[in-house]
Amino acid sequence: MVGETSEVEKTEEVHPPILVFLATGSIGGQERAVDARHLFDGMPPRKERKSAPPVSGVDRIGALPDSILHHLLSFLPAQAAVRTCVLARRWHHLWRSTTGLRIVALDDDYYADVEELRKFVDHLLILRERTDLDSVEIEFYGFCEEDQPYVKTWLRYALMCKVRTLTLSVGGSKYFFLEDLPLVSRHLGTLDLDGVGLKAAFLDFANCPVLENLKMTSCHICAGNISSRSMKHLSITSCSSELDCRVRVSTPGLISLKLVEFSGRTPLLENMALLETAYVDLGQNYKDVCLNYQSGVSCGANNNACENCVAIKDNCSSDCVVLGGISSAKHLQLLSKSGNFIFARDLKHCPTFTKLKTLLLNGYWCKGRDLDPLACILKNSPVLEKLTLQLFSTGSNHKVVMKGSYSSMERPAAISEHLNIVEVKCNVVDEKILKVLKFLTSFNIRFGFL
Amino acid sequence: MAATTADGSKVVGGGEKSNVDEESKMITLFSSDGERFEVTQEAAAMSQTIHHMMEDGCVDDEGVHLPNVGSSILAMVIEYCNRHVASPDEKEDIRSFDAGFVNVEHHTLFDIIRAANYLDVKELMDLCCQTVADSIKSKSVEEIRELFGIVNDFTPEEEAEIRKENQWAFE
Repeated sequence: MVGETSEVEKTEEVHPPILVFLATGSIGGQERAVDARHLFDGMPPRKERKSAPPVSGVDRIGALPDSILHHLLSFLPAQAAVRTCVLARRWHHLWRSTTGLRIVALDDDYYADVEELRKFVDHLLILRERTDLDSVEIEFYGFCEEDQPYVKTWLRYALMCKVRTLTLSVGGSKYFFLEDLPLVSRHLGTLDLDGVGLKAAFLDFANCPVLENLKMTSCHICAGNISSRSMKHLSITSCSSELDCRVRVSTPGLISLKLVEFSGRTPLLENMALLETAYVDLGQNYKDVCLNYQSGVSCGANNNACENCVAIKDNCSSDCVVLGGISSAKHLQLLSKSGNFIFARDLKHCPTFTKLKTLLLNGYWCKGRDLDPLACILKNSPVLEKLTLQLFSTGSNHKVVMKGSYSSMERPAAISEHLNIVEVKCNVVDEKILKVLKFLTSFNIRFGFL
Repeated sequence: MAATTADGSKVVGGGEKSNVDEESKMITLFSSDGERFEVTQEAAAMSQTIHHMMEDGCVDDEGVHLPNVGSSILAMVIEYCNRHVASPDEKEDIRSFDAGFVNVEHHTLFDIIRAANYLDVKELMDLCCQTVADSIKSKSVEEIRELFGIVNDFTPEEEAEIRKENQWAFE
């Protein structure tokens, strides 16, 4: 909550005595002060209007307390916030105490590069008041080597101002590599990184005891571990790693996880006992794909094993990569492109999903003669209530949706007795779909069309 | 804060017996002009101010009096909270609701901002501030003055001096 200041508005200039008298009292004093000038000066306002005054007439925005205006100005690009200094006396110094900084291009329609940002940021950081900052957002497109120390200084400034939400977004083809130093902050709660390169020391968040939200998009991870005891929400989208070993994600307090389209070896997820939801989408990454898949021969552990399937230098190669860590979840969405072997491998040591209530799967799980992956995961989901199969469609606009429910008579042991909704979403009802439906009807599920 | 129920026994905390119905868990809010609003506890808890009051057991039989919030504004804040607890996951619907919600006169927006600040409803506060900021963003200084009725009380010399002082922001 933004604290309310006391009744007298903070101004730097000396007002004529009549204004001071009227200004003490409620927040609305400011409005009355303006009116009083009309009454007592007997002169019209100094500023000549080029057009008719606004309908409301009264300056209601100026009547808001300082604390609210400091918060409001934080939503503007920092340069625009500074420019409010000439609006009126009320606004002369408000920009100096904003609760947030948006170090972004002045115009939303384009990106600035670091050089353009530096032109005003270097002044801004010196001339503003050193207030605590709620949020700092830094966004630029393009940088060169000389720019890097400046951006890193801006990040340090943010941390020194006890920032709680920090966003760094770098456009362009180069990753902006952060220092291989640990992040130290007792205040940082949310970290949002886009287009950033990250090294080992940084990704050990032991010195960020209140960090709860980490979002990484299009980041390059050069570290063996991501670890945080405090983290609750983790999102890793379109990120990459070139290491041969898997990045280990150690976040025992995590509540929600999103892992989508990882290039390079899929991260290994350590156990997350408090996990509620996870959305995992394993795209066609080239490291965790069986190279023999194309030719239709699946890799055995033996002589025809492709180089990807040969035991990689995993620390514990018999453990699950993904499924083990997320086995406590209540809601899962598990998608994969064909050829990716992570889920198939994990199913060989399939954990029991003791709390899983809703499950969404794509066509990957319905491969094979007996739909083994699907059967396996259903067998290990004893309290499952809703199953959704998103089959063979490119987007989320399915043409056909079928819903099925159990006949209450017989429930085979190989499926949860709580399962009461099965949805099948597809484009057309073709052979593949029929095979799936046939499989499901073996569980006494009857279907209807929606 | 302990409250006394009809049979004289003390009830401490959320007042299970009186205004808080066990089944629907409602809470009564009173606007500054005395109008009464029944809200679910869940929606009311979007206000951190009210949430802390409920947690600390400061909500008595009658409900919560909000002397700083008028009825028309309180109605809007409640509408916002109800909508946001109802279906928090339907992002598209919520986005279009929010867009319609802030499509009001500036003076109403400012009243909502004050109320959201007092009640500490962060999402609503940020939504309204973002809306005001968006209307400021690409405007010239003169256009901003006109939009909000800000009277320029600088002399031309003073204004020129300030522009020079902060020239780095005006380039």
